[in-house]
Amino acid sequence: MNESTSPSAAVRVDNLVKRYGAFVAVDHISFEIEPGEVFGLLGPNGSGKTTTIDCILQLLSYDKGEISLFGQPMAPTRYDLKRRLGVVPQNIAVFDELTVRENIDYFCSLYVTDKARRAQCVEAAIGFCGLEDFAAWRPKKLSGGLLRRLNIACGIAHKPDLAFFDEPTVAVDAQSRAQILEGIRVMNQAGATVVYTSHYMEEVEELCSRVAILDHGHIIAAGTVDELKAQVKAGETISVELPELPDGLTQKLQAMPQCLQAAYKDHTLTVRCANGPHNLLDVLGVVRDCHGVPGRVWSQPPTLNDVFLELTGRELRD
Amino acid sequence: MCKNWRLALLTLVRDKNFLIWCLGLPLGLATIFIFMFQPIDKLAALDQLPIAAVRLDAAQAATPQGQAYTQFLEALGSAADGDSGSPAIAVSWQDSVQEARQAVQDSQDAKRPFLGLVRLSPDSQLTFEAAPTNDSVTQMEQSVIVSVCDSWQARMDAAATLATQDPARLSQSSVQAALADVAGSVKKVSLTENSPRETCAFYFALLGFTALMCAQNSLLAALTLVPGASACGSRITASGQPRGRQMLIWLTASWTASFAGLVICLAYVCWAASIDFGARTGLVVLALAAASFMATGLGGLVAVAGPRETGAKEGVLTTVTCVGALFAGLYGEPVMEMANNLAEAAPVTAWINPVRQVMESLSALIYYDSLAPFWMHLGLVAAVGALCCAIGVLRLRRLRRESV
Repeated sequence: MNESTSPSAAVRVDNLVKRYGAFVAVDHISFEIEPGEVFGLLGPNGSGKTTTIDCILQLLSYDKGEISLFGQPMAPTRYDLKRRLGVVPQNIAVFDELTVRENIDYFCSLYVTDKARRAQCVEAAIGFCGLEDFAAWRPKKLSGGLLRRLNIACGIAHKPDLAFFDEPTVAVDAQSRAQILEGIRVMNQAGATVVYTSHYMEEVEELCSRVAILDHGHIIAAGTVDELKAQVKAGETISVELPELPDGLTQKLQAMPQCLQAAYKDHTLTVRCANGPHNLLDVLGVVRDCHGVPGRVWSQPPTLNDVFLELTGRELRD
Repeated sequence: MCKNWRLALLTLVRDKNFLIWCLGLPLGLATIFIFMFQPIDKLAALDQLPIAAVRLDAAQAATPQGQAYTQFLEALGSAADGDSGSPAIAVSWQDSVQEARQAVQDSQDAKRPFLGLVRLSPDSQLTFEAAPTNDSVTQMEQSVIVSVCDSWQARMDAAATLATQDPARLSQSSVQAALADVAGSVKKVSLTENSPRETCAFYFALLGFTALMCAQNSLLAALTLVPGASACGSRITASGQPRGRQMLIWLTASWTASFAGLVICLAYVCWAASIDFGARTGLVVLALAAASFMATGLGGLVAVAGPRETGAKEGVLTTVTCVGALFAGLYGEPVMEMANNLAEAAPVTAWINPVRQVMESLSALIYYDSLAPFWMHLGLVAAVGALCCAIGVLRLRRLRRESV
């Protein structure tokens, strides 16, 4: 990776507004990403994640706001800045007519002119994405997971300082997903700043050092995962398998001061508790008092979905 | 940049659109044309002209006029013309006038009937009795025989006059040679640089049509760079390479593919349809280079400045190609006649028709001694290509995803 010569933020977005006619896709968004961060943009489909990325990359014009990369204002002709970026778009962006190696070579050649260095980059990217056995294949013969890996290889072969991953794990199998996330982690450890957009909260929680949650073009919350979870009332969610619901159990649970919600569905009692000390023993005590016979019992710490649910009243995947 | 260009070229030539539209279609059409135009070429070709000739009896054959008559017809029947190496006139000797007339009459149902009979009258006048016909081609051929006979008779009359007025000159060898060389003057000549076939115009229109079909190739090439038109377009736009340079790389790759396709078509047409450009073959290749350049520019321009939908962009190019080919006369003889009449009545329709301009630049190499008309059409074709490329590059630099 190139060393960033500026101590400034890798990305600074200030008061960004993007409209499509009367529809406001991005509404006065501001955030900064420090060098070396893995920054997550989390939000449901249509929340403005990709539009924000496209504005940063100057693929879209915007109505208001300022964008700077590495401390310098970004513009469509700032090829010096663009050369430090890597882009992994949401849609597969490769040539069907070229082989895996040729595709990576083509996109790498848009950044790296030195032939010997490019050859090294291409081979490294093939290895990095686990495409060694498929280097001579055309994309049409690849599975969905391998295609995603090729899409990533084309975006990062030139070893960018700042890489944008726009929903890179959509429709891939668990094995490929784990491999992709591990690859991003390795890139970040090597010094690259990563901007990661997704509507999969588990991925963002696992990967990102800081997260901004978007909804309807607004940033509704931002911070580290722990900071975000601390911002909301929701704590752990306790689930208890019960063949039958004893009379008055949910009412007794809801009477507990730390209980936010208690519901029984499909033979499972779900109790959402407030942020604070553990509540498992208290909940099980109430179940026992009501002569309930618990089966399996598990407690789940609060997730970003809980954060989103509390902030918007909707599930993240709605 | 070279790597970029090589991979762009590879992408384009591996695309089935290139194989179908820039190679398969024109080669297929050329093959159909070759079979379709065979009768036209045959009709337009000037074959050997068969005549019957009456052999003289011994007394008349011994006279100077009789000897000259026999020598003339024997020479006529053996004089090879420059193009084919075979005699322009085929003489069939008959023993009497009656036999000759019968032979002419009998041959009328044959594939190649006698045009008439030639005989020397008792007063030493060469006479051509034409076979009755309403066919204009046969009448034209009979007029050739009449001209030959008239020419021989005029020389014999001149010789007779010289014999009475200036016998000394008649003995000069140069005069004798001039009087005797009637048969040598009967040969096919070409008024043009080479010997074009009647159907050349159709093949040239086909090459113009093919050039414009290649614009589809550059349309796809330029669309590769348009953000929003393709996923690769967005990725390439976000890359570190200036967009003008990317456009030039893809357009030159597209031009190379189109040019190669056109040269293959030209080689096939020249080989299969026996079209010979002679010493001007190099200029034909230059004309095709300019034609593919124009098509490349046109495709690039429509990609970045045309309607939003890719299908609509392809539709625009297909329409321009097919309408252009219509007014270049590609679709048959009546259409060619209509196109020529229109071009004569309203020359501007020919000037703005890219297919016609490609066709005219090729025709100029065959039908004109001077290269001025060729350079004029070539310049126009190249200028249109340069203009389209320039506008295309400028427009692409301003394109964003929401523009398309």
